[in-house]
Amino acid sequence: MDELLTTGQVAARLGCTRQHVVDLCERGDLPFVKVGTHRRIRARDLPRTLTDDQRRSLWYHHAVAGALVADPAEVLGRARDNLESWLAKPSNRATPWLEEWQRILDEGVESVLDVMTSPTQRAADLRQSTPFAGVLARDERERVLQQWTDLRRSA
Amino acid sequence: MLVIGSQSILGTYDEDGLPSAATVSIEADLVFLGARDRRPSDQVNVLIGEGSDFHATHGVYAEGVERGVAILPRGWRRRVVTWHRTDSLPASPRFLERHDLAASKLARGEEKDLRFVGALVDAGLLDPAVVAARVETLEAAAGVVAAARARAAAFRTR
Repeated sequence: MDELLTTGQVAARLGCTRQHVVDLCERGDLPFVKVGTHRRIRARDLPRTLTDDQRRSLWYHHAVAGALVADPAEVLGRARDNLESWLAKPSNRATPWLEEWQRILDEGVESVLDVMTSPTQRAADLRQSTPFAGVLARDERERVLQQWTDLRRSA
Repeated sequence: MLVIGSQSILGTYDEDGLPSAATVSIEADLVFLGARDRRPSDQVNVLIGEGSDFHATHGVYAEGVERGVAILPRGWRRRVVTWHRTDSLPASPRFLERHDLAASKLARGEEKDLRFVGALVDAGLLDPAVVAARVETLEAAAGVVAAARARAAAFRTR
């Protein structure tokens, strides 16, 4: 079950004012549901501090996003093929994540880009089961990883 | 080489032996216990990591992580499950014992972590009393242990 938070609880977690949370909701920057007259926000829709490996994954997905906007049909096609093949494997235990990705791919490029680059818990969890494998050329992928390693080392 | 995270449950149970609700991501976290630096972890990321050809072919990938990433109960090393496989890997992979894994998940406390532990408890694959005992020995700040304790208590009443 998704944990629902009040605007006050969100403000406490984000370290900001309740008014700012309301503003984020009104601007469409923070998804919310109405329970009566009250706004409620799902905990997994909040931006969060990412772990080191989540940040690396985000970095990688920025590179994939570049490939995606250059040739959406190719990249989305590759992702769809991967998902179909993985879902068919008897050893697969990640069906809910993979099927969620199928739904996101069907929503189109903008939805995909949002999940690729969003700092929310939900997006980080989805990136952890990314269908974007074999999208970047091997040397390009290694360059991207090397850049991350260098960036981390200098931080 | 130690497998931590949800995938480590596969060190104890075959895929068919797990309840369908105990879903995992496609990422397997690997820790190199003897490593003095990040090089083996970085190698894992390059060779069989996210986005690699291995990932594309097998639908799973490995992430080299640091030991400090996971909050574990005291004595976890004594309880690791070791495979002696000769087919795919040069080293015998080791896996967290399932109650240590559960305690570690309760320390994290993310929604997906609690769902995972819950699925195993409901399937009778975890003893909630043992999970609770392991939580008490988590090597973490008091606040983290207290939060994990509360989550463990909730499972005992299921």
